[in-house]
Amino acid sequence: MSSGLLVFVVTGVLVPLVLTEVGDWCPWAARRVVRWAARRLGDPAACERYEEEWAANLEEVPGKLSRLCSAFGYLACVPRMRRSVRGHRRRARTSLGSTVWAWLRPLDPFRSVTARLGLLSATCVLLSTLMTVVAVQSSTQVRIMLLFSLAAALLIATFTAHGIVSAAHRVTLTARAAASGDYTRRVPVDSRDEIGELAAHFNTMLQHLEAAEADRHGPADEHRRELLACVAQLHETVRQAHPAGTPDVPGRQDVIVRLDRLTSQLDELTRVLTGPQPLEQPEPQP
Amino acid sequence: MVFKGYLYMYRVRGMTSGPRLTEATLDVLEVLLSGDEELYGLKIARVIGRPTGSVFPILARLEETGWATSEWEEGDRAARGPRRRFYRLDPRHVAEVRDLVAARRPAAPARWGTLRPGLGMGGGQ
Repeated sequence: MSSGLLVFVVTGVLVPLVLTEVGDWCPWAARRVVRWAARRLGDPAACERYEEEWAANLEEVPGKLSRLCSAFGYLACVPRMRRSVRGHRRRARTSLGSTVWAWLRPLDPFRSVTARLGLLSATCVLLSTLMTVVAVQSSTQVRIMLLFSLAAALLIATFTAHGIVSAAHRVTLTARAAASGDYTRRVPVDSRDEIGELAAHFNTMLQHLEAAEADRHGPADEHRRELLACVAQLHETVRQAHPAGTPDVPGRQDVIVRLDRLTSQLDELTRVLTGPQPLEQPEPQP
Repeated sequence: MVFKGYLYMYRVRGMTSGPRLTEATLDVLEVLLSGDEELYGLKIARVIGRPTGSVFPILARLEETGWATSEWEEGDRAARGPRRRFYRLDPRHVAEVRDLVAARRPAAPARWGTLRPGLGMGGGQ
């Protein structure tokens, strides 16, 4: 291949091809860079927020390469952003006392499942040691003491686990009800440990879901009432247009039948949208 | 007069709990004072002529200190893609910020005064 042909191929084919590819690749790369930059902020809520916010801003940047440069600008500001995001999170959530408490909390058996399990293990070990000492001093057979130790450990474990499992079970029951569409139930929050926290947050979520569901049904109910009023008015109009005694107009009965069908279809639709609610059908006119 | 001076010192000292007032921060505060309801990061950056990499940390600091608040643009993300986030000054701090900017930059109204709600950044410039 001559050098002239090589230059032609490179400048006329390869370079434009590469430039086109790079041009197409830049916006994709910019989006990836922005996403990566946002995820380096640390706080999950901030990551989600800035990922969307920066992506929206990026879409307004003209040009493909400048979009990529802009994305690197966001990446460059991440260290400074991270300080603010952390400070904001810390300020919003904790004071000095709560920070100390966050460190101490795993030691509180009333507010931490971890501490409760730790206490359980410690009690069992202590009990076994005590039994062994008693066995040695009273010349009791070790196997009998072992049985006592096992029974005591199992009893303690059962009582401790019951507290944890019953709380989790209540959350499960409410979650099952929510999965079947019942957002009105709430988990009774009577413990202050991690499961109690989970239950409280779960209740908040259910509250939001219930509100969203009510918002969704509100317009559906309104439309249902409006449509019903229209159908009733149509019935009345058809009836008054041809009062009893006057000769019937061909097709009048057909209109009434169609109106009835429309009402029943509306009923079905309402049932699908808002659950099983009886629809007050207008009384059919003769 | 002396009393007024003390008051001013107190006010400035009280603001040390706010963000560090660099020139860029003052620029951003001036734009936020313009009253535009749809100020997002890129728009602010374009108005003050600074890179977004400088503006977003400032906005984050302003939010951290409570001087600014932000809210998502109306609309569903699934329908219209990523949403912008609009920034505005916290109403409780507007007077404070206005005094501060006026003190630091007496000619401030002439700089971004052309920005009006709804007209966007290009309005009247």
